Amino acid sequence: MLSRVANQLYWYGRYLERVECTARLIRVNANLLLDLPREVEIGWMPLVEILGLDAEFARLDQPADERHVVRFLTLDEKNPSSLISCIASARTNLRSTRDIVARELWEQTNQLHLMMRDSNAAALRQKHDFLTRIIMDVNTITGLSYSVMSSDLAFQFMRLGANLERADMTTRILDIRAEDLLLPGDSAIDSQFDNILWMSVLKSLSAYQLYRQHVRKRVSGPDVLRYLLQDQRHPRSLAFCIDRLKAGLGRLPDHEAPLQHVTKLSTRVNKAPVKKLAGKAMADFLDDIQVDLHGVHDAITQRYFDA
Amino acid sequence: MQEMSINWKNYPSRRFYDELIAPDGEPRPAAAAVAESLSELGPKELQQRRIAADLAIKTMGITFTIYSEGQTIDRAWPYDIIPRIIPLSEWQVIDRGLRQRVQALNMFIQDIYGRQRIVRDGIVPAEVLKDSVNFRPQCVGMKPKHGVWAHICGSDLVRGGDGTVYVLEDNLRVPSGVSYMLENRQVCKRVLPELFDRQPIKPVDDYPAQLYEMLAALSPRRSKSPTMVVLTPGIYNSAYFEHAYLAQQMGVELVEGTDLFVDEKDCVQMRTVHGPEQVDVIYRRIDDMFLDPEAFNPESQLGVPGLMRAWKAGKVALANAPGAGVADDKVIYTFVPKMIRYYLDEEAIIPNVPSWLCMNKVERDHVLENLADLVVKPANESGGYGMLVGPRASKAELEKFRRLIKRHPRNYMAQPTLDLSTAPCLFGSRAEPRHLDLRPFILSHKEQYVTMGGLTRVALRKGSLVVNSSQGGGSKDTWIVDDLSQRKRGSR
Repeated sequence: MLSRVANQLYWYGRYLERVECTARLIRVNANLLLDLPREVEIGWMPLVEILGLDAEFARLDQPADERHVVRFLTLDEKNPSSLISCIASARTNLRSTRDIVARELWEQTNQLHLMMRDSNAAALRQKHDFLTRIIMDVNTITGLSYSVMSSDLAFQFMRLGANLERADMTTRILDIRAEDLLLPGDSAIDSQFDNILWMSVLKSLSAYQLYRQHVRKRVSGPDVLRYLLQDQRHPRSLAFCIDRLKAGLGRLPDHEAPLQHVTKLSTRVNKAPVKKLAGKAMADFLDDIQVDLHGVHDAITQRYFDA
Repeated sequence: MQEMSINWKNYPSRRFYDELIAPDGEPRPAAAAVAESLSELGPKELQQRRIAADLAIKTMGITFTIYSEGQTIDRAWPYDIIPRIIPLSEWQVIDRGLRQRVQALNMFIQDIYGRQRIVRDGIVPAEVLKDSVNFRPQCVGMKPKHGVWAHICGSDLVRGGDGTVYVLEDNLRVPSGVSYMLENRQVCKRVLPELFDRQPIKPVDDYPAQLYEMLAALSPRRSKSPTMVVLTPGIYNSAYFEHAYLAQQMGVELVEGTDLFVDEKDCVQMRTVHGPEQVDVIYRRIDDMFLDPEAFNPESQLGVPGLMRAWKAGKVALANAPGAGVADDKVIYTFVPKMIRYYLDEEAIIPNVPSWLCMNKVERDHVLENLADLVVKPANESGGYGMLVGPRASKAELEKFRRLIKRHPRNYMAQPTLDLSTAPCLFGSRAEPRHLDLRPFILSHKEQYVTMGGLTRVALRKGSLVVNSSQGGGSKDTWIVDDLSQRKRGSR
């Protein structure tokens, strides 16, 4: 397989995953804010921070209220990480690999792109439906890739991108929320809302139901963190994503260098005494993981795309 | 008014030569079964079939790309459901004529980059070559395998008012359209399957296999399965759909210039996730001038530095060979019948459209006197650019061309305006005649292969002669109907 094509499929996977994660984040945040009293100033800025778009957003010089942040994250074509931009990028990446991916994948991606292009502020008034539609469309594409693609290199590179992006997103969400929630003496949040906030973290990773089934305890910070970082079964837990990365790399040729990075990351995540990490220690731990994830990305790029 | 079934007696088939319906309103013999089926279908059913065709084209993703207002737009491929029909007995003659023509063209190109016998013998004047923008000095002295330069040729055929088929032009650089020929047949089978039951129609779908065989035969390395690629300028090219389609159909990689590099041994390597892989054959869909920034346009971002070096060292085969375009010059075109006589000692089976060369004084005077009745073509443009259509031109345009011809006589040739033949196209539930042409594709290596029919392009605007899809042109499935074995077997 051509290095360029592998690179494009990898990014296709990343962009689509980014779309789903972002859509879920927005949807959950909107719900969360409805449950919180007005004086709890969680607001919308954390989403911008989670996605690492602080600088881009600041440049717009707009208030960080719901209307502006949601527009920025969904339909703003100038924001390279907005839903509309990510979908356009995914489409562009797929377009020049049309000869090797199944036609149905292209058609679905193209349709999603056209739907976004035709969407306007009116769509955002029905935020919940709009975001749900996007999440479902992305999952249709992912589902199609499982049912119509053979498990060849094309498929592996797409999944590699998706799993890395998902691991990255899970870490980012925990990073921002843990800062809010685990730092002692943060007066902005009354402890009575802790529970609701941690529930929202779970929900944004569609992990609430499974957490209830598997952890069977009341929702508490350390338990949620342990679950989302180390659970071996939840599809959005960090440990699970890393495990998928490992398996995916194992199917690629000459994978030693990138696999080494993943193995190192895997050890760090699985061995961490998560429940004992609090405050700054947790923040440092999550930062280290982010650095490791970058390392994995760089190793994959170097090994397969820059040949 | 109530919609009616098609009644061929009311179809205007007298003004131009119609491919399906004779002047008396009777379907031509090879088209009889189709004409009958279509009128039996009734207006509602016909419209439903047309909607089905549109839907099939959309879901199959058959598109062409246009570039407009800074955006690339994928348009659905325009298709008319009534097939264009050619009897096998007639096609066999055309087939022979195309083989003859392409063989002579290849011998000409080889001669031009070799000893130039045809110039020394005074058949083609030296200044014609000297001023050819498609002549590549870099290619002088080369001898590709079997002396074949134009491995893939698309020749445009038209039929005049008296029913004679002419060659309008030969496309020897990167002719496109074959994917649409193949997809048109797929659509037609989906939409009008019953028509296929009524008579033997020659299949077209072995083209990708034939193309693969032809390309594989060019491989400089002796290997059972050579590594072959389709080289595309990328997604912004109007024929990108076709590049991807052919790569997919042949099961080879679709590459862009940056996917390839030339190593220190002059071998072409492709960057893959397994590391570099040597490429044996490149089906390039990039024009000469952009192929290799080292040899041609240094600004080119599309090509591969060193590609010409690799080709000249015999390490990689290029189809078509660089420099093959020297023979698809509109002025060189006028010499093709003479080439056929010179190299093959035969008369051309398919005639050229009568042409006047502006470089010859007598012919130039004729052209200048009759400018308003003629079509004037520049030597080196393709796609209908820079042309003058005399009967439709303004006074100012005529004056402009008069000056151009006088200043650069070598750059122009003129032809009479042809009464292009028509075929019925479906509008609502009515059939109306529209002008069309035909582009068959000819593959050449040790042997030759001609597509069964080709791509029929049709000018969907009433009275228009412009068949380009970007300018309101459409297409039809093209049938070669076996009238010979039918005759032998008697009617079914």
